[in-house]
Amino acid sequence: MVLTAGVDIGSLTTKAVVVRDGHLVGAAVLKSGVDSAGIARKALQEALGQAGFKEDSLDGIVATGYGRIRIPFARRRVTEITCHARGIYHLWPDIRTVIDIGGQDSKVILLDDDGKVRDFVMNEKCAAGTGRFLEVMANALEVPVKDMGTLSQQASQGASISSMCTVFAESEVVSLVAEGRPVAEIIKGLHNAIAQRVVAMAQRAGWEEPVAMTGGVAKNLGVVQSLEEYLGTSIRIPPDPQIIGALGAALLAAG
Amino acid sequence: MDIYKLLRSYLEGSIRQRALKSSWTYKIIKQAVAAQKRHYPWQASHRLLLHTIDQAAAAFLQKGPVVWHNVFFPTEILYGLGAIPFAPEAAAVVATGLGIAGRVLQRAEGDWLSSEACTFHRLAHGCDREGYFPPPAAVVCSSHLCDTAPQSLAATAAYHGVPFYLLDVPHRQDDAALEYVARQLKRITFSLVEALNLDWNGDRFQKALVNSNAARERLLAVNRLRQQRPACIRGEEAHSFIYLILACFGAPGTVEVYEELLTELNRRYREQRRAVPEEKARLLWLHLRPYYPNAIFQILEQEAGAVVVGEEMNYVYWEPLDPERPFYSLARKVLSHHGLGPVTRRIEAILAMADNYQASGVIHFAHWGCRQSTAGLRLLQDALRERDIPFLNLEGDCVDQSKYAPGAVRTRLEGFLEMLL
Repeated sequence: MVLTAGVDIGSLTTKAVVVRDGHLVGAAVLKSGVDSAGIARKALQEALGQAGFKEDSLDGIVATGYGRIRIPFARRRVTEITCHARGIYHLWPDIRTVIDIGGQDSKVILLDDDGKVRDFVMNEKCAAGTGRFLEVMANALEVPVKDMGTLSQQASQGASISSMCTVFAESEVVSLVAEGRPVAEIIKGLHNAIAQRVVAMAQRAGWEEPVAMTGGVAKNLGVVQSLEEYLGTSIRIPPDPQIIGALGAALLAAG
Repeated sequence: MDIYKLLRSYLEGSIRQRALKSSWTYKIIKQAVAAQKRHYPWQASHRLLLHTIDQAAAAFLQKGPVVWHNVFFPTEILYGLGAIPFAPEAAAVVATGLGIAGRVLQRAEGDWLSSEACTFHRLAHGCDREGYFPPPAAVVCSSHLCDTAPQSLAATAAYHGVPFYLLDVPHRQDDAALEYVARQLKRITFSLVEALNLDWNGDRFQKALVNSNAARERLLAVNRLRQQRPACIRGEEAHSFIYLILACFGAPGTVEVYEELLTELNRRYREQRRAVPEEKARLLWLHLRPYYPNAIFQILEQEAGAVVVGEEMNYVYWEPLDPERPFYSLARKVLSHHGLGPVTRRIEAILAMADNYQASGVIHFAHWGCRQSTAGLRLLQDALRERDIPFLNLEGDCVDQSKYAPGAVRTRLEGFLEMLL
């Protein structure tokens, strides 16, 4: 038996996955905080608890995500680019493009036939078009972020959002609310704006079908729908898209 | 003694502008640098620093007429005239290293310089208006490659009330273009003689071209050595010599620096003294790099063993100059630049470099506001993909540290390395 774990320390959430002989046996998602190592350890313990194992039974731990360098108990550190690619390849080996939109960045990753990263493109160093962007907008609209996807599907058209700067877009959203524009249309407009930005990145990378999406934002069906419309293809979403990076890390820990 | 700390303490005090104009500053700095000689892993780097200090001293102490130039203007003309060349874009790098960029960029912003413009030029503008740069007696500028330089330098010339000479470089490379550029170079040369009341000395002018050829020969030899496996000099160490190609061709000191570098490199290759314990990848670096403290080369070379074996900016793109036909051969040099004309020229040059240096990956540092370097990246990426050479476009700013995000840069570099290794 080979038992390994992957810990993905993102800006908004910390994810841990335990894999036994290539099968996912435990997973946990916690909110990230200032104590990255403490939260990562807690997430790992939760995932191990689900799987029914103790930390000392692990054959390997790989840390990924922005906080990967701050995890002392990780035996290896691998970027989330490679981990998301590995996680998706494990689920669907035919996928050639992974779109990962996380808390503070978005990436488009191209995979070769063996699931190795062929190329990747990341967003610029700001939160535009990421999970954090959606959180700020949800706050401005006074709706729970988890309801944004469902709400946007009630709109037949999206409001025009001209700026992707989080600060400017927030003030645009506030103006649209003041104009009496339905919230559903504003949210759809935001999703479209994110999709347009990500599609530009996908084009830069030279995306190919089939496409999968990972990261917390993949849970937002409104964003997925907008992306599908702009790309002109369907996008596969894993059962829990948020843990794919950690899953890939756990699989990489097995060698 | 940390030379940068010493300089910073001078510049941050109320005597900052006066300090730059005091011969004592350069005496102290030179002595401090000279005392550190044995601590330099490359004596050529030490010599380069001394050469740079001498040049700065000549400019700041106004030992002759200071002529500002952009980094693509053929400096052989200025050395040949006995003028003191001063490259504000290169000096902006020093300002960054000294940690004064933030304050100076604010000054440029206050003067309505668009934040969309190249940071090198904004920083140079701020340094000049804050009194950190020596005032020019004249300004010369070439129009090729950089679109901000002519506007920025023309504004500086107007601010100081000194003559401005633009070298208008066409995109084509035919005989008419050659004739057109050569004629302008001759006119600029003799306009400078007249405007600055310089003594025309034909022998000195030819000597600058001879020096340029000697430097070129040595740089070619350095590049040939660096194409061998394993690398014996890290890219981080080699990068600083780019300054010479941008601002110092024509000076005798440049030949001496390259000679020293060549001697040291020859010795290290003979002794097989590797740049890193295990060379895991060989990288080609395109455009420039950030000049403030950053971890880029540490991540690549020291942590991952991926050595930057060649730089686009150290590429010798021109044929030897003919001292008997100075303006014609300098025009030919200007028009030979691989970045001039259709983007396919640059791509062909980069592919040849990748082959020659046996590069397994290519990194392009996309400096904020530099359009000439970034506009053709798609075609470059496609050409490298055809050869299965991984390519990373690393977006950032060479001189504005506020644009540097350490975590994001690390992820991009490590992601690239994971793809490569």
